[in-house]
Amino acid sequence: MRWGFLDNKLVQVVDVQHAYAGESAGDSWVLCGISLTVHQGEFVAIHGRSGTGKSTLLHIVGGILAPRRGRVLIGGQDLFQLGDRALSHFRNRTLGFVFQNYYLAPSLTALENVMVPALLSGEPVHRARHRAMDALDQVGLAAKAKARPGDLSGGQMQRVAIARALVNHPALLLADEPTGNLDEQTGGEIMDLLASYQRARGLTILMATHDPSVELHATSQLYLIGGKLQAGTGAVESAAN
Amino acid sequence: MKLGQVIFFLRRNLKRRRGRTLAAIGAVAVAIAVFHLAAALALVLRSDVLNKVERIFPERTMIVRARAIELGPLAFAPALLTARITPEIAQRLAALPGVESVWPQLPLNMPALATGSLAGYEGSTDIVAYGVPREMVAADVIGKRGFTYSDSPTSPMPVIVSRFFVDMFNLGLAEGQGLPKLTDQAVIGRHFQMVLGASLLTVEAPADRVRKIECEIVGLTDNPSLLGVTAPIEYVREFNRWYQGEKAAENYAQLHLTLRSMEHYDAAAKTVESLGLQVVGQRETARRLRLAINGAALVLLAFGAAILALAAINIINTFALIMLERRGEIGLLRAVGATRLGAMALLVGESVVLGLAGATVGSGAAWGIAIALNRALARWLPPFSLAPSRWLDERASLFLFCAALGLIGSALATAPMVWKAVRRWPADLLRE
Repeated sequence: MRWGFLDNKLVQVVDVQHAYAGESAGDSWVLCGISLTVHQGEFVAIHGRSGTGKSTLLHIVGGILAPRRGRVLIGGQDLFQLGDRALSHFRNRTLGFVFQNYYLAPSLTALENVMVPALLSGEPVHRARHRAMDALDQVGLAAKAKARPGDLSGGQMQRVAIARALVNHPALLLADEPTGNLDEQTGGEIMDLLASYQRARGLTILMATHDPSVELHATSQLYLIGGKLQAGTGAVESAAN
Repeated sequence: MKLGQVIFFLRRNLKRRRGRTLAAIGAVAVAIAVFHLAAALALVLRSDVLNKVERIFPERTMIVRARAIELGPLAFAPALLTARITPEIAQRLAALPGVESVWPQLPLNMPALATGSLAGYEGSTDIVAYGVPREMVAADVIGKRGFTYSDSPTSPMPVIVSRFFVDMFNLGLAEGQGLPKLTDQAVIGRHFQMVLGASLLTVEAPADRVRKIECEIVGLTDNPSLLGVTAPIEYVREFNRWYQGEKAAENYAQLHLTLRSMEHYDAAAKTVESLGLQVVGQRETARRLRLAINGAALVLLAFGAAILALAAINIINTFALIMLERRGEIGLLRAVGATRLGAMALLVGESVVLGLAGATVGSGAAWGIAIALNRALARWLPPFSLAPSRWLDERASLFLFCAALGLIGSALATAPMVWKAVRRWPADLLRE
C-alpha cells in the first residue's frame, strides 16, 4: 500500500471522540472532538496533565485503538476503514511507535528486539539482522546488541525502542512520553536523538510529553485540556477552524 | 509471515521458558503414551481376539444334532426315540434358501487308541475320532499330504488334531514332566498309530476286531466340535462299515450348517426343529463374546480418552495462564505490524510444536514398550491356541495417529483463546 500525502498532509484527525467504559458512573470521555492536521516533516508536541488522553490520542492516530467516533486519515486514507492486513502494513511500514514503558521483549536481545518489525515486514532473517544492527548503530548501541533488556539502563532501553521504531524507515513516528521514565539528562539525550532523526530524514513526529525540553525541537505545540486540543505556538489547524 | 521468521520467534520463545516447555512436553508425552497403550490393547482385542472368537464360534454356522433327552446333568439321544441324521436330511437342509454349506460329522463308532511318541514321551491314549468332508477343514490343513482319501495301504491316513490337545500337552504334561513345549510346526508331519477296536479301558479284543492304521498329522483345528482326531469322512465310513456294518457307515453325529447371511437363521432353525432335530446355535455365544470383547475395548479406549481429556484441560489451563502473561507481548507484536493470522501462527505454532514433540516422545515410548512387551511375552508365556499372536498393537499407523492427535489437539486447545486475544486492539492489550 502506498501512502500519498495530499497537500503535504500526513495525518488528519477529524472530530475524534473516545471514552473508556466506566463501571458505575457511565463512560468516561477523554477525547471530546479532536481535530488535528500534521504536515510532513513537522514535529508536533502535545502537552497535558496525566490522564487527559494524550496516550489515547496517540494510540488512535497509530491505529492501535479505534475511536468511538471520528476518523483518522493517513495520507488521505481512512485508517479505520482498512482491513487487518492493510492496517498491520501501516503499523509496520509507515508508523514507528515509541512507548513510555519501552515494551521490549525480555527474552530477546537488543538486536533481536530491533529485528522484530523488520522480520514482520517480510525481510529474511539475515537482512533483518543487518538492518537492525544499522539501526542500533545509529542510536549508539551497536556494542550492546547482544545484551538483554534487563542488562540495560532506562536510557539504553529507550534507545533500543527508538531503533526498533525506526528500523523500517517509517514516515511517521509516534512517541508517547518517551522521556517519562528517564532522568533529565538522559531525557534530554533522547529528545536530541529524536530531533536529529527528524532533521536528517524529514521524519514527522507526533509526541505526547511533559518534557519541557521539547520546546527546543518541536515545530508546534498543542495542549490537551478537557478532552479538546488547544493551540500552542506554531501553525496548526485546530478544532475551532 | 514466512516460515523462517516463524521459526526465529518459536525458537526464542520456547527456549525462554525452558522449564515450562519441558513440563508441557512431558505432560503431553505421558497422556499420549497412556492413550497409545490403551488403544494398542483395545485394537488387539478387537482384531486378534475377536477374530479368534469369531473363528471358533462362527455366528453363521449352526450345529444340527439329534434331540437329546436330558436327565439332570446327563443327556441321552437313544436312536429308537430320536430322529437320526442321515445323508437325506443333510441334502434336504442343503437345499434350504440361504444355506451355503452343510457338512456332516461322522463319528468313529468303535473304541480307538492312539499310540506313539511326542517330544520324547511314549504313550497310548484312548481317542475320539470323527470323519468330515475335506472342504470343511480346508483352512486348517497345512501338511503336504493334504486331507484326501487314498486307498493305498502304504499311504498314511491324514488327520487333523485339535489345538486344545496341544494346549493340554503344553500346559499340563510338558509343564509337569519338564518336557519341551510343542509349536504347530513341531506337530505337523508327525506320525502315530491309531489302533481301531482297542481301548485302555476294556479287555483285549480279538485280533480280527483290531486294526492298526498309520496316521500323519496334516493340520490343527480350533473348532470346538472337532475335539478329537479328525480324518477324511471316507476313511471313517470305511472303518464303521468294517466294524459295525453298513448301517453305521452314514449315521452322522451332527451337521455343520453354514448360512450365507443371518437373515435366514430363524427360518433354517425352524426347519431343523420341524425335522425332529435340535439346533445348537453359536449365534448367542458369539454375540455375548463379541459384546464382552467390544465392551472391554470400549472401556480401554474410554480410559485412554479420559487421560487425554485431562491432559487437554491441563494444556488449556496452562495456555490460558500463559496468554494472560503474554498479553503485552501480543499487543506489542500487533502494534509493530503483525497481522492477526501472523500472531496466531506464532502462538498456536508454539503450542503445536509442544504438542507434536510431546506426542512423538510419548507415542514413540509406548510403541517401543508394545514391541518389547510382545517379544517378552512371546518368549515367556507357553504357546496357547487362544492367546493372541501379539498382546499390543505395534503398527506404525498407531504411532502416526497419536502424533497427529497431539498436533491437532494442541492446536484446537489453544487456537480459540489465542484468536480471542489477537482480535483485541493492541492498545488494550498493552494497557493490561
